[in-house]
Amino acid sequence: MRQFLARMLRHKAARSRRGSVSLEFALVSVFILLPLFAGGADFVLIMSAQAQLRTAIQALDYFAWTNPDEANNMTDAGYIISLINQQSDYQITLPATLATGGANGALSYSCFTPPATAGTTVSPPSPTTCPSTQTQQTLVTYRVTARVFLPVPLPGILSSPETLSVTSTVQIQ
Amino acid sequence: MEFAICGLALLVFIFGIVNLGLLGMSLSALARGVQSAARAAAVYASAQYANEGAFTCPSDSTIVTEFNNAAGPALPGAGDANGSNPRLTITWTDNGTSSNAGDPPGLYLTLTGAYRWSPIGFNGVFPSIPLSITTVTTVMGSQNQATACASS
Repeated sequence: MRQFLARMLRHKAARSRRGSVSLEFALVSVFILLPLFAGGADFVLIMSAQAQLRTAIQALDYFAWTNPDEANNMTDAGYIISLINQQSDYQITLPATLATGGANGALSYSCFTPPATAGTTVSPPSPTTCPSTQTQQTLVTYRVTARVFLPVPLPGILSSPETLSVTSTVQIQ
Repeated sequence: MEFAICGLALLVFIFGIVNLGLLGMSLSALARGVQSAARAAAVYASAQYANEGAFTCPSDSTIVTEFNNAAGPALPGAGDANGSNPRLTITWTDNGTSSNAGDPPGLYLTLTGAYRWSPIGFNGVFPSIPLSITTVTTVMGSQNQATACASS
């Protein structure tokens, strides 16, 4: 009788152990593996969109260097972006205002002390009057944004669509 | 038994991390290759124009070579034909010397690099992931010559 009871208890313990293993597997799957893959998918999409945005803003920077007189012409800058959008997976936009509140494509100016051989003539508009020992430089700032539709949004953390943006400032003169 | 389950989860986790790193490397190489190839095409044309007052469009093979040099060993050799992986799509837009329906004058190159990336260790589990990067570069601004560059 004692042997029978001992065997029964061992059998019950083994079943309980198998049950707990199944439970652990379910917990690991639901709370670790699934969120891991979902987060991975979101991460890949965001990384891909961010790479496209960086490439687009670099195209705008090159445009500004190539056409400094048109750098603040947002119609022309928009044309560059429209060419990209024709073949890109993400629709990139040029918002009217920068994150700082200024206009997208806005010019800014500063003075610097050049090397002896440097000499830069800045055409209007040139609101800054630099001392005679310094040279004025003109900079342009762009901002591009794109909306990314995430397969698994995280409420309160990562909404879908998520808006990504990249800003750059380059010297054009 | 617990170790088997946890080990499997750990293995998937480790392979996932490794694959995210490889994906980032491939994406970065793709972007670098596209940006560098487009920039090289612009320099190729402008250098000729500066020296000779005229230029010929860089060929598709020149652009593909520039892409491969810039992308480096992180990506396999690219091509511009169907079925290539990575595949480059080369599109020229010539607006001539005057604005065409409001578009700015000049010659523009739109270069798209597309790459189907496959994760290691998950063969048959996950399909390949399509990566794509597009850039545009002003090859020449307004100039007085016919520039018939062929798009691939």
